[in-house]
Amino acid sequence: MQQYLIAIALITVGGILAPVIRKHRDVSNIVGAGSAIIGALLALLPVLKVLFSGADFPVLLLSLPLGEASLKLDAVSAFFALPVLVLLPVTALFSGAVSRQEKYGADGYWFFFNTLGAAMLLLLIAANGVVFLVAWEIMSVAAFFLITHRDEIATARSAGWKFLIASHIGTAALMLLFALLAASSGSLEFSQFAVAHFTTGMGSLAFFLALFGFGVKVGLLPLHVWMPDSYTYADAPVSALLSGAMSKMGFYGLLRVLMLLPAPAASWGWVLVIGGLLTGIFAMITALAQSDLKKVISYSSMENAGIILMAIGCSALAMSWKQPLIAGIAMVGALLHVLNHSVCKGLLFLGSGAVSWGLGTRKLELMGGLAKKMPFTAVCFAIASAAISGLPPFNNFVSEFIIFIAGLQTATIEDPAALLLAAIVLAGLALIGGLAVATFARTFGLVFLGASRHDKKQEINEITPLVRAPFIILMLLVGVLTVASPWLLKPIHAVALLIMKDHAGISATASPVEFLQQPIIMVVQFSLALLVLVIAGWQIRQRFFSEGDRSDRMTWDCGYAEPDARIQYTSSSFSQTIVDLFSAIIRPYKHGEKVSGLFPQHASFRTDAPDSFLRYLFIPLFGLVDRGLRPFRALQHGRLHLYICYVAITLLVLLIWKVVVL
Amino acid sequence: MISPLSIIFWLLMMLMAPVLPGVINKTKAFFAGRQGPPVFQLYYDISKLLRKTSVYSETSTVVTRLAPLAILFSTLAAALLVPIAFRSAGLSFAGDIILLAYLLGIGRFFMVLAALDRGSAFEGMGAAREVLYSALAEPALFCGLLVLINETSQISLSGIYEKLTTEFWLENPATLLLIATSWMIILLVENARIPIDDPNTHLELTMIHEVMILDYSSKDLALIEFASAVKLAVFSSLLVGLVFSCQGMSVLVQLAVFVAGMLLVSIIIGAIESSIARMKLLHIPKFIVGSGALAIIALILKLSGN
Repeated sequence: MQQYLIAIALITVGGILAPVIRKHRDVSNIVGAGSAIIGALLALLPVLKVLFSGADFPVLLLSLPLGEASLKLDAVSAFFALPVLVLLPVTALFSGAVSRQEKYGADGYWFFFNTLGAAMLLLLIAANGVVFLVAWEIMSVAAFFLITHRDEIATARSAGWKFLIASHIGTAALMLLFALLAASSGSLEFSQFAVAHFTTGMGSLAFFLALFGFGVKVGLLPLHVWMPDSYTYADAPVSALLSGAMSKMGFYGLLRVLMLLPAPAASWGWVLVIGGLLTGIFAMITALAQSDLKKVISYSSMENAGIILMAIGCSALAMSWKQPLIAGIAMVGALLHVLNHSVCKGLLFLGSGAVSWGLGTRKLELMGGLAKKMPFTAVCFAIASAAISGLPPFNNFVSEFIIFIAGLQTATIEDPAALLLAAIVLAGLALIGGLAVATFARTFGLVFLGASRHDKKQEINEITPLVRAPFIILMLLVGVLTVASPWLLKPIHAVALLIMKDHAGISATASPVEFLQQPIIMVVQFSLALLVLVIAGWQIRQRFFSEGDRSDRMTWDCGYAEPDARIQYTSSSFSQTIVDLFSAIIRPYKHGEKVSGLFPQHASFRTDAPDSFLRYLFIPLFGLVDRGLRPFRALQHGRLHLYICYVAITLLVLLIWKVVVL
Repeated sequence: MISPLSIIFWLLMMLMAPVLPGVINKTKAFFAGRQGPPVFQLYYDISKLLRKTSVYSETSTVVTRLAPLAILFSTLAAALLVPIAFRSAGLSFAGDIILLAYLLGIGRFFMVLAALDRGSAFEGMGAAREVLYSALAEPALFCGLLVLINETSQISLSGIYEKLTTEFWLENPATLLLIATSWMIILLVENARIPIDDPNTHLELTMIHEVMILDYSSKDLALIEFASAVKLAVFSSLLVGLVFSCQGMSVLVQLAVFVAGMLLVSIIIGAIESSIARMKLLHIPKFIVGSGALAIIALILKLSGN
């Protein structure tokens, strides 16, 4: 536990030191990145100890001016520390490695980067409402400064503001939540919340406040509107850290509150399941219509949040139906998916950074054929794309498979409600998964394959060996999370049990771990064997069966004499079928002139799909609020003597109130 | 773990798979009053293709060369998970159908990547359609599965199929009919048959599956053709296992019924292809969602029956 606190201190101090010595840019970078890396490794030890050997650290009492606050590192905190402790050092390494060209050392980058990391680590061990909210707020503000790090770019500024407004609306709900919890228990300590008595209405109110507050961070529909913009316009390592680690804090908060509240009601589960389903489907169909590489990846974060919410909801419903096996399986699936998604998303965002730096653009319409120029990035991106689409043998498939099993097992219950849940989980996951395959096959294909659409003379550089290190680490983690998944079930189930307590009862027949172990081993072995076979087949084919093959011909294009890059399928044309099908939801903008006449000269077509909820819900809503509050602007005029007059009037009113009323 | 008999059956099904497209074509020829190509035509085609050398586009990368292997192996692996000849599948465990669906997903992923790899004007079109239709077909497949799981309380394919006895279907004929129809539609979608796609068309603009493999030649094309035949066999065997049942009979009888069932499915596909036209592309999503709706109706029937 001390080690964990020392790590937080080290990361913070490194963050303060780095800008102080910014004159020596290299030293400043080494201090900033080095402290984040060493701090994370230092904190990893106690975290792994708690997770794998079940070590129990004592509660630490913190003396604050207004009473005491406790810090505690339990298995749930430790589990959610993993994404932070993986992505913080990896993105620090990446930022450090590219710092020369990106000039990170020159300003407050490292200060806010390290502060964000330290705040997340503090948030995880907070066992007191005030400490939790303070850490939450530091985290959000640090994230705001990281998003707007390139404040010369207007889109980054506006994305940052969206983030700041959204996260503060969320925080407002969280303040209400903790006020409510404190009012019911008479204390701000989590340990007191857990034993307090809640009426059903109070419990539900607390849950929905938490869902709103934390839903903003995870990207629950329609509170996701800040997410695609912030992840897109922030720098690649920042996007990786925000999506891979910070948004996971939302899940942590939600599950922590579930732990503190009494057994979940069925309505909570339904809201989570339906919310998750809509989030996932909306995110994927919108992702398919995007023409910006990082927007696609950002919407996929939202999609995975939907999957995780669905799994948590499935678990909550199973708890309310007293189905311990299903509740356990779904919760294990949700937790494992949190971890898997972090790693893959880190890889994807860093890959998008490599691509956009190499090419100088993020527009899918200008990419293509990069696999030949950036083979290393292409391999990383291919693996990450297959993994994030949930294809075997990669790690995301394992966690999606577990959630599917929860759905299949739910279908065996003889109850219409259970069948409805099973139908939503199975069909919903299958649809989201199918659309994810479409999205990432499209993305990888448009970026790395085909003929290049960019300027032929442009020089494109593959990333340097030092920058490859973070990619290699993340790819190794994808492998480890796949191969080791059968052994991860037990520690993760321990975390799940801590979250679920005995709300569902204890399974009499089989524990989720026993139930899942055999299928997971089968799935992993089988799909790895398939991978080995394909590689072996590939070797044999290249060695013995490639004689006489020639690869100097043109692509068949219906007899065109000189096909060039411009006649190939583009990002807009690829998504057109799907965009048309769902145009009622994504409401795409279509640009271009129609083909007309017998010998048409010129025609073009392009679609773009800004977020529907931003356009049709939030912009009108905030416009309304703005108009409603406009009269009050008269009070804000900047004249000091009138402000003093306000103070005097207020005092006078209070005085009169005191005399007359009390 | 894997019984020798199931491996033999699996091999038999792999060997038999190229007959199915032959039977379909024969049936279509019969309806058209032609003699048609021989039933074993695909074997001839494959052996001919295997002896040729490949030509690749200069735009293509390693993806084009790797994809046929990945497609074939993932389809063969998927075939190991389906119950063949009313026996337990080679590999059977809780949730195996999920792995089956996702193994076919790997094949699709590579097919789409390979289509985009050549930078063609047409192959991308096929790829865009393929991903959409299969994304819609998968939920429909799982809707049918949901009913079967609920009926049998089993969550592995072999476990489910073991409980689908004749008595069971005599009690629930409507459920059988609805799910069988639903899965038949999914078979047509997943295997690019009429009314979704026309395997015989020669206009690139209207094709889905065929357009994605336009640039393939020789061994690569042979592998893909074989993989497509195996995929058809996988879906047919799911359908045969659903409709027929010969639990407790001798192995030979089971095998005979299974083979007859597979051929029957091919004949039905041929009859469908001969009697209806290809659908307008815009109507296909409705058609696929409709197949899922059939399964949902089966579910509602079941719930109202209790």
